[in-house]
Amino acid sequence: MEDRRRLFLDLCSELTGFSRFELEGTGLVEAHQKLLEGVLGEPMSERFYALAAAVLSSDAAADREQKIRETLLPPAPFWPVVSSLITLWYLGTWDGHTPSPLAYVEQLSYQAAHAHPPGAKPTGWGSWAKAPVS
Amino acid sequence: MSPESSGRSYDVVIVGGGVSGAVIASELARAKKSVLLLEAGSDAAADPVKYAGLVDTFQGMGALRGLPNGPYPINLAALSPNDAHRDPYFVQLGRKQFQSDYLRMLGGSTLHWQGTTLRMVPNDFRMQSMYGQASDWPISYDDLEPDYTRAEAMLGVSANVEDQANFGIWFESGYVFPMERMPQSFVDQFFDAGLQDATVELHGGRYPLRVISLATARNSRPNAAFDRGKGYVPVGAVGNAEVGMRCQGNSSCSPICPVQAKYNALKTLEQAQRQGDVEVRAQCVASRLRIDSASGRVEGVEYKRYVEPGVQRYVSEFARGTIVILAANAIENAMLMLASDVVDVSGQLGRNLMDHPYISFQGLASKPVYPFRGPDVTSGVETLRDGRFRERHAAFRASIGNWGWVGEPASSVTELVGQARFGASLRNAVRDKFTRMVKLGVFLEQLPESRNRVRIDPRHCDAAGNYLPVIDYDYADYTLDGGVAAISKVWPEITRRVGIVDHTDFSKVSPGFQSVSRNDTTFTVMGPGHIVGTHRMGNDPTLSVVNADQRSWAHPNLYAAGAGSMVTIGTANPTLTLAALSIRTARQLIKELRP
Repeated sequence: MEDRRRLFLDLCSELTGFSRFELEGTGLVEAHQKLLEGVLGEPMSERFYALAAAVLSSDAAADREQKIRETLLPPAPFWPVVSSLITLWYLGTWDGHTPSPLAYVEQLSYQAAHAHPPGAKPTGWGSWAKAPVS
Repeated sequence: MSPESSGRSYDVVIVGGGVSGAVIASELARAKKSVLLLEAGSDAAADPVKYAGLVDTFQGMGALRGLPNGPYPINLAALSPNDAHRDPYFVQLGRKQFQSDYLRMLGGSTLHWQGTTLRMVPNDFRMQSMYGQASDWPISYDDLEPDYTRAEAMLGVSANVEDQANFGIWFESGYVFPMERMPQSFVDQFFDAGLQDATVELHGGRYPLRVISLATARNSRPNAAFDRGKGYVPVGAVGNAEVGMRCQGNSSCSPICPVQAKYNALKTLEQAQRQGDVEVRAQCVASRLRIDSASGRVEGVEYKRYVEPGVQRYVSEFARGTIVILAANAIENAMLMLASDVVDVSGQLGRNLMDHPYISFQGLASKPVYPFRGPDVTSGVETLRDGRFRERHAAFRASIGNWGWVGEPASSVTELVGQARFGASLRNAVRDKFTRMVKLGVFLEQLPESRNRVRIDPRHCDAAGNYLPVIDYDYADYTLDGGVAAISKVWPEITRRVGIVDHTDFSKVSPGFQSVSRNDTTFTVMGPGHIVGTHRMGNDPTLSVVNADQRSWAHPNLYAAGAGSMVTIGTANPTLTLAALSIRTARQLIKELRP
């Protein structure tokens, strides 16, 4: 299980472009992992993590990217699940539904844009008048 | 057998718990008059715990998040127009859809509004005299000016006089707004830097294009000099006064401000109930005015009370008042008067329905401007609100949008992921695009036309026999030509000067928009919720429904208050004007009710 957690986190980092620390900072790693495994079911999860392990076994970033292209992007059979997973991180929705308030609040799209999701994490009085600090 | 009242008779019965009804109730309470206010919808938003629940609903909504009525529960017992609802409330019979919505809940549309509070310009009140278009109001800007001032105090408006004193808009010497203008956004500053000398040529000459801060009913830094040095204390959330005394940048004003730093009518209702004899009854749908045929006096309001929001089980009741005021918005006011067979010599009841067809322009700035922060609108290009071109085509104002493009970030992220972008490439693409998104929203004026109307028809009722609004609506060339001017001249000049690459695609009809054409130009518009005109005021009972105090010509103790009384819409968002008209009416009522 610990191994799966590490594989999930590292693979999500590769897929989203956010570091392990940034993803852990969202507090969503466990929830998103559970959601994914729930959708895949057990034999498929096993296969998914095997692919993840293969991708992550390379030390060079360029090699990992290449393996992702070969085994997880179209026309790979896991692509729909992988694209849903990236969308879950970026938009906080799975199949159009928001699985939890936290998924909405910590969605990465706004973080990538140096902004915040509407109705949550307000940036403070007057903050919109200046460039963001981070 | 007609429903009988609980026995008590009130000085005033008000139908509608939005900003118009709340303002009148508050003024009457101060004058020691007794008020009963009936609201068709629920009062859930007045409860801080339930209000927090609405914020949660909003966060969980996904793609429907942008809809004004999105987080507010659909209430079958008192329907509101709601894009997400399968069965639309409006029955649309015109060539074009009437797309604006409103909210039937205690607090009304001020729960979901953006908060912009602009005064109309003096020429808006005299379009016929100045430009040979539409009709003149029976009152002028000068007549309404003290009421605008009072409305700004009651709603809590943030602005600077030097920004707002344009096109002849004047203020009392020494006047300051309750609060300072909202800080201009980083996006505003980007536009402002590029438009320093910009002009555009329209009929009648060259007109400047300038960025000006908007006056808004949103808590900002209080002005110590307000009210001759008495100062101003911002009003926070209802039931939670310490929260919301300053905007903190939640960026969700429409549809809901999590902290209520944005004004909503519940604040005025809470104040009214503290100040005097004001009884508020929610979940009471007014169905008919009881009118004495001999005297023409309105005896009171027949209404249907329901216990469970969403469940159409009604008990019929009756509320008796010396004076009855309809404050349920332009469409609902007209419908209630039509359902009550209110005498209408002019034939204008329900007619002259107007809105601000809204065009959304979008583009990518030449450098990061960091949108998706702060209120959606803090400034606009406000310099085309008046001018000789109004002889030929509509005036308009243009809000600078701080929240990126419509449907974002979902739309672009979905597209990028669909292209199999991932990792740093995805993150950088998201960052590069979203940090440069700019939007300009153009509000076009419409002129009153009798063909644009709301009416009722027994063939169009809901399951419980409540009338549905039957709407005929279309756009005249006057308005469409204003849109063409915005598209062909104003937006291109702005993008050129400011440094924006245009990404507006009118071939894509976003949800809530519809396609319109004028000569070779096709574009899309939507309705921003500015509903006016259906019981216009005037000096002549053969041409208007109410007089300059919003009193019905036919029924001496009946008033129809709100944006329905407006003769023209101009370019200002109507809320401040309708609040000013409500204050004017309240003053008249207090005189009439003098013992």
